[in-house]
Amino acid sequence: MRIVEYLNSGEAWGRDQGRYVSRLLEDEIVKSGKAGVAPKVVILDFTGLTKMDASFPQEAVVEVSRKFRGTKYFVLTNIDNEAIEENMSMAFEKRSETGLIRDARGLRIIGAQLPSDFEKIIKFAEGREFVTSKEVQDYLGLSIQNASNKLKAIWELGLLQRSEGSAKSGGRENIYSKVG
Amino acid sequence: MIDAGLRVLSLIEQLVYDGKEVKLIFNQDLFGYLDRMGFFLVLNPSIEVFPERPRISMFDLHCGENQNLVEISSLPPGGESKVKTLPGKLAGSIVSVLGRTMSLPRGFETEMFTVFSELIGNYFEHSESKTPGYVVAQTYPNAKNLHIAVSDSGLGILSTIRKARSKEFRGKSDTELILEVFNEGVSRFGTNVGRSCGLTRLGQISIKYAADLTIRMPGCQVYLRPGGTKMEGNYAYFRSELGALRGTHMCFKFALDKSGAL
Repeated sequence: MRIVEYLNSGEAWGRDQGRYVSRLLEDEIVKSGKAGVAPKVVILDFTGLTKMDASFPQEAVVEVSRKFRGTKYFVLTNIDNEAIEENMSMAFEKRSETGLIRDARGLRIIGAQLPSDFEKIIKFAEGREFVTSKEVQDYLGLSIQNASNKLKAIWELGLLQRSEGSAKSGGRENIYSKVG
Repeated sequence: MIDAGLRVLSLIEQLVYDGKEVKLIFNQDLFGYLDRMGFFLVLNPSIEVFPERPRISMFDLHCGENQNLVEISSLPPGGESKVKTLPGKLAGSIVSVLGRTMSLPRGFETEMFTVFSELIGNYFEHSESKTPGYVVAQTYPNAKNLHIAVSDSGLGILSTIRKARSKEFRGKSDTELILEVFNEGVSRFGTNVGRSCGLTRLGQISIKYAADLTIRMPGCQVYLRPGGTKMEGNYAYFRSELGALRGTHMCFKFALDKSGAL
């Protein structure tokens, strides 16, 4: 979803405009869900956005991602202006939320600071098709229960995707993968 | 100086709103300065001016020649849609003027855009002003200075916060509270709502570009200066030393040559 398509220009500011864009985005996400073609991952593309303050994304990005927490995963892309990224990060931080940006510059974790293990696990998952509790246990030297709890907590924050897979023992287990 | 011009405009609007008759009587020096900053273009048309309003605005006449001034813009109450392009236009003008004599860092234009949009956004979101607000910028390329001022006749930044969250901030002085607003973000809507990211960003940008900040409120005037990672209280004047003026009036004085970011 390209943000500039919901604006009349490449400039975005203020809560008013943020709320306006959030309504459009929400409608679009709900509509795509009804059509039965809803992807689980919503990619918010900032290509063409030349200027943005901190108040706009608090409504248009952070609030929308909170609203769909548990049903959709969000990742931001093509933010190539450092000042825009700082404004975006502040918008997430002030809502005690953490967000993901992924583009040609790689993965960035913005907003409210995560426990260091969480960041390590998200980056660990970035280069893999999926990760399991056992792999995180080995990677960080944690107990299996602790690794499992951390993966679940990261998933609840919307920062990893979760699906069900088959464990080597033959049972079912949750497997996690990067968002997007 | 530029912020004083804005305060005068706000004071005039407040007096008119209160039903007072206002006449402005000028000496030539002040008249010329205010004319060049576009003061008379935004002055309430009902105000009598002596000796007379300029027939041709010096601002219009020298538009494009004056390399240091960005025009005063008025903010109409409830008219956010009418000023949608204003932050971008003001930020672009600053970069255009300063860029002639200094190399500006990547992102500087977006940061100035952020300053204007957050200040203008606050006017529309929080001030509840019934009369116009004003915003202006003045550049001093030789001194590598930049002044940005905004003025409104609304409720006043601290009174809205104190009214909404009186118990929480009862023991805090105005200076302590204003520091919290710019350093950590305090909103009248409460901490859980998580708004107020705008003023915290303004605090960060002020620190990055070495900006002193003056905030005139109904009860006091507070001066803040950039510390290492936070804004610090410098000194304050209080109600007994000040004339009556409603609203919030802020002036950021960026000392770009003292900033490590350039």
